[in-house]
Amino acid sequence: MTASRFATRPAGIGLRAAHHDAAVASRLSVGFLEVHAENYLAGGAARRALETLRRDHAVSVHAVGLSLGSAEGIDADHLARVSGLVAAIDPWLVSEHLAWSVAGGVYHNDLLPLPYTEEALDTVAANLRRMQDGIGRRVLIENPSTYLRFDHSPIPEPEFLAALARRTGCGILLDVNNVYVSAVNHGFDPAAYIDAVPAEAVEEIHLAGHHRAVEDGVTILIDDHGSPVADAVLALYARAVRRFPRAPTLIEWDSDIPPLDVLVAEARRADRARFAALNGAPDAVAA
Amino acid sequence: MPSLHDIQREFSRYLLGGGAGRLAEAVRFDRLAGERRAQIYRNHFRITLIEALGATFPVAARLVGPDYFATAARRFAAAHPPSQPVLAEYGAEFPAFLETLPHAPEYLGDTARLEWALNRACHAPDPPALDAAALAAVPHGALADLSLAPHPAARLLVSPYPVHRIWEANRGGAADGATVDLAEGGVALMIWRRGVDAMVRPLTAAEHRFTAALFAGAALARAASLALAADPAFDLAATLAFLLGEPVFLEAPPEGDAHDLRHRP
Repeated sequence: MTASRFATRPAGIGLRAAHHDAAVASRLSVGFLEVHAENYLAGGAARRALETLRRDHAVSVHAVGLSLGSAEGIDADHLARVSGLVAAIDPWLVSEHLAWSVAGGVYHNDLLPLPYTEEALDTVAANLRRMQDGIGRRVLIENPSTYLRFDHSPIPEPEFLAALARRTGCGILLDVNNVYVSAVNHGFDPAAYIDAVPAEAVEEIHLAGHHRAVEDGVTILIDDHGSPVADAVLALYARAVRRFPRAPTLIEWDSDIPPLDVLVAEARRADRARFAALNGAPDAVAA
Repeated sequence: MPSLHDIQREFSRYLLGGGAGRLAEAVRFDRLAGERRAQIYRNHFRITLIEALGATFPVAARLVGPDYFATAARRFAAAHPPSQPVLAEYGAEFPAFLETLPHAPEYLGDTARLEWALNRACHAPDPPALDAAALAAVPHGALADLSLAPHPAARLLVSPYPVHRIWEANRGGAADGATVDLAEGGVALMIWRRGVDAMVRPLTAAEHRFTAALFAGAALARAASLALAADPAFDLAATLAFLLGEPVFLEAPPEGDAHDLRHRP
């Protein structure tokens, strides 16, 4: 019954400042902790909490601000700071996003969408190589949630990610909630997306909540990480787990952040869903 | 078709408050107009930066109320958007911006300056601080000429308003209805970090003169004479004991300075 060939860490949780004290004080039992690099680059309480927690936990560093999709390249100073954090924390995994945030020297505090063109592929690959060289690590790159697509965007997103992995040696962080959110927002089949991602490259899975908005009568899902993982996303997660059985899972929660035990319970729920997908449900055998 | 660079410049212009025209033209029409889809990003840009400024300046927000603060923060974000991704380091120009707003209380800018100093104290890097033992190791004859460098978490703030009392009365957990007498007058404050806690303490005029001179690079003897000129009763030993009992100065001067000293003919 136990699937040792699918062995991986239990699900982890995204560590946020609201939980620093509780996480340090408790004997937190989760597979790993993931932190946004940009919140731990300086000294003070956040960095100390991370250093303390690092003693007892595997940590993954998830950068959100390197802007790998920027046509103007990535910021050398910021890369140096992220490299410093990686060197100090010695994380288990390092990741960034398939997105851009910086143009004209302005940081737009969001993961903005790219047109999927050969030009963008060259840009992201060059920036990603620079990041990997700078930190001396392989990086996992995460699929974004998007609210718009460009007219000229000929490369399907899973193919774009696959090409990046081939060109740069990066891995893929597959955010199942992002796949679902983008699928609803743009009307594509999320299952077909999961099936199109190169299985050997996926080394981490993200799960989070979203909320539903209606704009001019059209349903738009907003990726706010402010609620439990939706049932439809958990169903898609089962498909992802069967396709990427070795990838560890992370629960993210960034707005209306609940108490730590609620997050830990979400991680347990993901573990149960993962176990059921790999061992229980009959279609798991067929997959 | 527009280049990636053009698309990003147009997107940026739109997020900062410009028209959607050229961006919307590049966006695929899919049940919703391109501009409606782009608006989701602009709303996110505005809301998250208002929230980031609210987290750094909670007392300023309380002093003017949420609607006024949100409008001020939105205008500030459009005029002074972040230039780097660490949001805890965003908002250095916000106190000065608040002072340009109509109908703002006159002490708003300095109260926000105190919040900025406390925020910097919280998030500053953590190099080793100078303590009394390290200073005792300096040869006696060299003490008078010694100059010190401020710890990155430490700074001074001078205001014509009692901003520490305003801050105290309006910060989280403060009792409602506390009043501050503006006639109490101005204050000089030192802000620093003890462990992981940001600290604030009023300084006397002479203490401030002394500390400000040291922060500006003056030698110990020069700083002491400036403080004594301000107040002949200035207690050098007590002030030094306080300053060395807290992580206020760097243990080692910044590398550039040491380099300069070594190579000075």
